Amino acid sequence: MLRNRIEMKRYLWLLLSLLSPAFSLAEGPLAIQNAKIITVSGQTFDKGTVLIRNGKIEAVGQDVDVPGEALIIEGEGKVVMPGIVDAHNAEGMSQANERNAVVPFLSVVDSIDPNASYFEECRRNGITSAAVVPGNSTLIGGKAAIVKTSGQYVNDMLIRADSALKLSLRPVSGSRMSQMAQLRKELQKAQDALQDEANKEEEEDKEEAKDEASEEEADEDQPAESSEDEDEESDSNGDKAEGPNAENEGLEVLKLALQGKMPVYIYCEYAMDIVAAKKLAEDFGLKSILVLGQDCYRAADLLAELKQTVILDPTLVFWDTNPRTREDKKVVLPEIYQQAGVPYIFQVSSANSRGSQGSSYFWYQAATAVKYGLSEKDALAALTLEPAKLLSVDSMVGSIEVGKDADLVVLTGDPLDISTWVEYTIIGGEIVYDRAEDEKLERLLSPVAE
Amino acid sequence: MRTLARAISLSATCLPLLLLASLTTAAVGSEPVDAYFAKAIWLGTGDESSGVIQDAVLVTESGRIKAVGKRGEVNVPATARRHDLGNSVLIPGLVIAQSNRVKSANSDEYAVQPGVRAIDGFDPFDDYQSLLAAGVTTLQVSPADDRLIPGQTGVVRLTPDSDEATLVDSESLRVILSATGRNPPSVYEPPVGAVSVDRPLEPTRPQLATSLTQAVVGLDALLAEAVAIAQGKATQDLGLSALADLLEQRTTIRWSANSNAEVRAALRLASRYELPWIIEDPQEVDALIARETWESPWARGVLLNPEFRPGRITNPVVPSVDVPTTMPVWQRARKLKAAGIGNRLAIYAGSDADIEDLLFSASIFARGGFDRSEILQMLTANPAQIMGINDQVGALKPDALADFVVLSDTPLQAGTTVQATYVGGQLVYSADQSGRAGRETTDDSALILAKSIYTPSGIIENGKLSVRNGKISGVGTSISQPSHCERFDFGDAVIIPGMVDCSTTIGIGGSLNERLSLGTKLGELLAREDEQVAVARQGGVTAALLSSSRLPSPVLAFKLSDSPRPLKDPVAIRFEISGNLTEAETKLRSTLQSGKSYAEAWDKYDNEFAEYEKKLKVYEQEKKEYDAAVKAAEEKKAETQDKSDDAEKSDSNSKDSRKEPKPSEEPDGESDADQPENGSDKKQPAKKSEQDSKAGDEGGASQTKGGDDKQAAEKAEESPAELQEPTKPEEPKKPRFSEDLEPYRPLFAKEIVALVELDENRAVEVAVKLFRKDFDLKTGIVGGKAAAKYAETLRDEQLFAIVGPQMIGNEEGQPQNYAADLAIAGVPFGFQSKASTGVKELSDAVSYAVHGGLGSSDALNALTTAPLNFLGIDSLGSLQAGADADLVVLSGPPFELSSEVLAVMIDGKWVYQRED
Repeated sequence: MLRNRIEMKRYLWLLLSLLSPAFSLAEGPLAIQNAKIITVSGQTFDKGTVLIRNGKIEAVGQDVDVPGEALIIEGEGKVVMPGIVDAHNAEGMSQANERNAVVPFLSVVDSIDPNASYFEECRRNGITSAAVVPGNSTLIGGKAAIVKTSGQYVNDMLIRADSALKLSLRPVSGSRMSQMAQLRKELQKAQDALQDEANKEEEEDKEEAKDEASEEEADEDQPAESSEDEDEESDSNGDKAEGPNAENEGLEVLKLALQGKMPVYIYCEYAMDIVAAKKLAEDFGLKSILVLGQDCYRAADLLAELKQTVILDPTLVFWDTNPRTREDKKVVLPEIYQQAGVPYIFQVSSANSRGSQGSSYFWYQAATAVKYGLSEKDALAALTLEPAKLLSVDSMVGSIEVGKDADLVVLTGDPLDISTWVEYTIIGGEIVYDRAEDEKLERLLSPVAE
Repeated sequence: MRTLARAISLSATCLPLLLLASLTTAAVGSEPVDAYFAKAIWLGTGDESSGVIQDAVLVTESGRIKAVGKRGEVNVPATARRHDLGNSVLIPGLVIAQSNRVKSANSDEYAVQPGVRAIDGFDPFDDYQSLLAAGVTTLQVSPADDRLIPGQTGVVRLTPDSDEATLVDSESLRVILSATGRNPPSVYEPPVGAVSVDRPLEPTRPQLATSLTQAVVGLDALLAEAVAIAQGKATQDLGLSALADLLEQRTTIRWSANSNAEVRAALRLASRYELPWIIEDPQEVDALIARETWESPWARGVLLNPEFRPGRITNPVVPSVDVPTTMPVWQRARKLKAAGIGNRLAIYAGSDADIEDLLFSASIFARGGFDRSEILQMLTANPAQIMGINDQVGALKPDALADFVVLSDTPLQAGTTVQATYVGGQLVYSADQSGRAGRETTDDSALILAKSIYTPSGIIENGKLSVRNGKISGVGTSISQPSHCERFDFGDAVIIPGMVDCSTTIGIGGSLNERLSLGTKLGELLAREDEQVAVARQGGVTAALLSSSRLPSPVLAFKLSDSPRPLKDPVAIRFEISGNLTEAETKLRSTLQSGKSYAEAWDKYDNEFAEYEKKLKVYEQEKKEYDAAVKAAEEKKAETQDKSDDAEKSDSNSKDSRKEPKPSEEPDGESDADQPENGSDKKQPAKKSEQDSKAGDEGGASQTKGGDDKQAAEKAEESPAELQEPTKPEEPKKPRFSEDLEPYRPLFAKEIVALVELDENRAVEVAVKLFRKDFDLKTGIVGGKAAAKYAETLRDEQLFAIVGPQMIGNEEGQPQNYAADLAIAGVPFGFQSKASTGVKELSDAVSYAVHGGLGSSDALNALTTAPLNFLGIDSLGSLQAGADADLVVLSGPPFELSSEVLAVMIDGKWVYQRED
């Protein structure tokens, strides 16, 4: 089944390249010169040039030879930085699954809408890559995908389909305990299946060895066993032949997660969920990406022990009331996690499954973190390179480095300054957003009402 | 925690040791060992003799108990940090055998859900301070009560370390055989619609057991199937796999069973499937007391709850045929104990809200003949054993977890409170700390404990003293305690009232040598945060007198608090008799005479003024009536003028009546009585014309009001000719005001006293003659030597004396103890230091007098109560309810040089605590 899909994808891709010749044609070189270039991964050039060719960054630095045929963006007084990478959001889908609890086989790819206003907003705000993830209101919500925020068809956009599996520890219905019980049951099922496979292989190996060593001894038992095996195999073969079987496919996905081949987003609503997530990861060998709710700051020390980058709740500063003493306390998440030594990145998708704070909110969050003590350098990395690393796409995006995808943002000024605008957004060497041509923005800011 | 540490460090004994310990541990740097010394340690096991160690020590290391035993018999490593908990009692942390403290515990859709684990709903990051404050350290958590099989229970410890919170993740499987499990609300009805591959349309499950029989039959079937699965005889069923696993592991089943029938059913099923059992909340115990029940290897225990909600009243059901009376829980417990299973009983709280009071409500089992150690055992060791965690918690024994509770006194005794709770050797709750949160503004309560407390009614041994809002709210051995209070246990210390120094030069930030007007209010000059005051009070003096060294001077009494508070300003006038006695006497006589005249003049004025005010009231009433009458008369006159021509005549009649008073014909009784008084006032006639005009004005004013009494009008009708205007009394004349002489008024009113300083013996005679006999003042003699010489005279003439700073003089080669002589003669006296920071040494100076023969109770009286009595200050000076909380904590009995001041409290605030 999996193979089927990949093949289908290939086919689609071919089709697409035929349909849109512009896409497949190599672009001419593009250069942004005399701009302040924040590479995030390395040094910042106060007056540098980025040269882009074939959608990749060809050169970056103080002294870059710009070929004569290159299209030039004059960057005097402007700032260039890598495009923002959104590590967790439930936007961009025409219809997200927020209903069915255990659906590991679902893929967001089937629902991503390239024309969704969300992607337009992303381009306007300098977000060039985004992980589209099933929401928090399910148990095993399905598979996530990482996409570029520009493209005519889904496959233009895809960086990686089935990039991760989404789990949520917030109860769908009933109690937290039954949510956990069901989750554990599903994972256990997958683990048992893996174990069975391993046993079977081992047995087969053994039997082969036995067969070779002493055929006589095994004579009596073997027929029965082998016939059983055959029965089972034929059963499962039969299932596969029948076509898509949700149960089996789901099991396959869970198996990948258990083998550590597919990372797992785990949404933790409360601090107590961190303990459960940690236990799950340990028990089932999951490679987890923790998506935190507001309350999780109570477990900051525990998170520090895990030594992994976490995705903070979109609301970074709020008031918390102690139910016993009725005392109000201002909670500043970046400050708490920084002090505990927990590396973090941001997200804008709202905690209540639906809707988002808007992609422009990333800038605000980074600035908030800086206000409470994060260095500006780290704050920019938390928008770009750190999420790219967390999603294992840092070889392609997340920083301005030679050989990486040319996903850049040209800003009118300092990145965290409130008066700064995104001038251009460039994805894969293509200018996908130009403020001068942003009619919606113009209309919004135009003082004359229609 | 800091305050606790402070209280600990304040107790006298442990100081050098603590210092030493902290030094050595820092040097070695190995795993810290802690030693807790307490009055007693209750181990949680054994009876009141074997289970309680008096004068004991508990040694912990890396979160576990290393040793416990009698002080001196247990090897305490030299590097151990020592914590002297004074008179406190240690008990194991309570083990709560049943609770529902899980988060988002909304009931699930199924009646049978063995896969659900309560441990997944436990939030280790929640605030458990209220439970820790109740002495709870171990908590069993259960899923909801309203399902047949709600799921698995777990056991947690209330530790701040979330990794160590889980003690047992699957302790037992809960089965609710009682009525609550049989009619579960909102049980699963499969929703129709949105059917998909992963969400097929399911048939309604027949899972509602409405009767015990159905429930038992259903359970039997489930268990049989699960056993079959476990043995591989049946195909795997995901719904039952969890149950099968549990049965295979022989997990304990917790049966919630009330009636005999339910209990029997539970026991039958348990023995059929060979499963360990715990029975929760049996209301009938007939099945449980059978001997064969307990011979079964599967018996674990019985959980009972106190069945009453602390502080709440319920209406008991009137017994009838339908509703038979249930035996009170303590009687059930007694029966079970008689059946020989006292150690299999555990007490839990009927609801989560009651857990906090379990240490109180569990005492009800005493009615069933359980002693304190047995009840404590049912809260600690027994539940731990029933749940199979007795090697970890529930008893204070080596290798167990260091989860213990510090109680103020014997457990389960009225008034005993939890002072601190330790989990894994870490202090996780301290009463001092939590009492603070969010209530700084409301009060500053404190409870102070010491070996002896000196009160007016004698010395209280091992007493308590409670302080609230700066006042002493109680003193005794069994007093009411403020609910949220800081607690200070001073161990072997002694508490005496704050001392009074009858002459000092502190309080205004410098010395006072100039001549002061007697009207000077010294209280307004008091300096805040005076460093001299801070030093002075370290000796235990909490109130002092201040005056200028140039006499006469006003004297101020004030408290040595951080912002000194005047107690009485002035409290006395200090005079001096020095030099030529004849000359001094003459001079003083004239001074006093002028003061007396001034005071008398004002007294007279005051008397007159009081009289005047009285009369003025009467006058105003009369005037009102008169004006009403006049008005009525005029109206009537106007009427008659219309009718006839007699107008002029009646008008003149009324005028005549005004000029000629005819008191006997006045109809009003009240003014009748007043009339002679008016007449007696000699000055009245002279002012009459003026008053008349005034009255006329007022009359006009009152006429405009219009709403006069009808009664007055009628009266006027009756006798219009007899009206008489009352006369206004005259205000007495004020004497001349003199600030300088002003203090003589309270002096001659005996509200304040005269202090006469003298150094020559014979001057006493002058003082007695002049101040006491001639001017009749409350007088004190300042000067120990002379006062002692004339002790008898002073007693006979009811004078008092002030001794100091010299306490013992030399008379003809013999030492003379002034204070002792005065005490023997029965003269009330106080002490003075005449010093600034030297006030600190006053009590040491008095110690010398005590050494020389002064009784220590006389000395204490002279330092506290006596001077306040003769100075007329009554809100302090003794440790009794209602008095100001001014007290001194001494390391030993007062007036022994070995005793040191440990702490000083003024107005409920510690102003001095001895440095560590």
